[in-house]
Amino acid sequence: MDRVDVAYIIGVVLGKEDTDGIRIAYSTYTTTLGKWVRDPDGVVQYLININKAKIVKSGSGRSVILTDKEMMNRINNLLTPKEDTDPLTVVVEGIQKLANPLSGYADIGDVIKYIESRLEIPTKEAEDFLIKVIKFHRGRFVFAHGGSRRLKIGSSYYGLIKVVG
Amino acid sequence: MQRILVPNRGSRIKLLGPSWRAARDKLLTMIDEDYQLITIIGRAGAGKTTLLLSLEGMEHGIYMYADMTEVKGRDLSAIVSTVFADNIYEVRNVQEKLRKMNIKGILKAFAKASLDEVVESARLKPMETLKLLNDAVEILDMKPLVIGVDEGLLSQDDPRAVDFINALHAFRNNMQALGSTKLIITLLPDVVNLISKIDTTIFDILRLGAITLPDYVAQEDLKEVAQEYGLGPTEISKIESLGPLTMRQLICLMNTKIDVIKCGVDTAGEISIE
Repeated sequence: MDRVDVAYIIGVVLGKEDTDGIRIAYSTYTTTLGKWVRDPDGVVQYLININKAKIVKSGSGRSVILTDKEMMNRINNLLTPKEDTDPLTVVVEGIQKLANPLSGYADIGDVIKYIESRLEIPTKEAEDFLIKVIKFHRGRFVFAHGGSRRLKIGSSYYGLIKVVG
Repeated sequence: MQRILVPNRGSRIKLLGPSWRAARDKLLTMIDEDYQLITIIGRAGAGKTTLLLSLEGMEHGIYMYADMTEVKGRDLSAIVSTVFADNIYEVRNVQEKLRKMNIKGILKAFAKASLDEVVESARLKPMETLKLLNDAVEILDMKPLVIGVDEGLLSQDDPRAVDFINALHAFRNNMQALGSTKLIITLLPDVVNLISKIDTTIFDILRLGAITLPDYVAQEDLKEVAQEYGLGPTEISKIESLGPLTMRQLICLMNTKIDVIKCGVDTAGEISIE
């Protein structure tokens, strides 16, 4: 993370959205920025030089406006916590979404792909995730033969999964 | 011991568990409401065959059960000829009643034909022969003619799937002509998945008349089965701790003093994906 990133993080946290970007009182901004960079005024000047900020008059004082909207969005995404994902909920939702409307069973291969895409994790991790959920909530699922992937439970093989209840 | 777990014709079927009796009631209602293609869906051990066999001796109409397990083909010819060959008593009964009516025309020939000739006719001209039986049942006021076809397809990998689906199409296309005939088939979940992927037309027809059997034994079912087998509270709670069980697994546990391994109850913590 460089000084521009730090400057934008502080701006996004302290500032208010304005038509031109994020607006923040100059002194508040430089005081806070000074906790992490040695020369906050120099950083503001640098932002102005690279067209990522401007100074405007504000009443009797001055305000900084951070103008790079793409960067603001990136920082905003970075600061927004990911939705808490309950593992059982992920698997149940996946099965219900993928289940055949008549039988209620979903293909375990499709459920693994769903977990991969929903949690943005590789196949092996998605498989381990599914196995852990099944082990921990054994009574919440029933299984049937078939499907595109084989789940081995004890000495039995299954390829379809359904939520109980 | 295994024969206890394999329902067969001739032995009186007693449906245990309110969930399964509800499924039978629904099935009978669908027959009364003139559904002509009814599907019973359930995983292995859910009780599809037992439910089909429980229709033997139904109050009205004629019931013909055909077990396709040992039949090589799955086309219409194989299915209809098996239905006739497996239900000689019912066919003979219809023929006798037709003969007593002094029936004329093509039904007269049907009434006079030997059973071998009828089965051969069913093999060579399945739809025409089925239509003759349908018409006979109507004339004799013995309707409905209910046909239960069990184990039509054994899995999603069954190479005869297309033949079986084509047979369902043929039946669907002739439902108007076979007005008194109701066809009930059993399907495993993976076969349902297969049909939904490869033939949406027949899938849409099937879903209109489908009964999904319970995938596991509910509390009230367990209570009734336990009572039937005289099980105590300790054994009941032991069974409850095993997780969701199919009806076959439960009956097996009753007959093996709760031998989970013999009954295929997966209690092992070892789970992997291959």
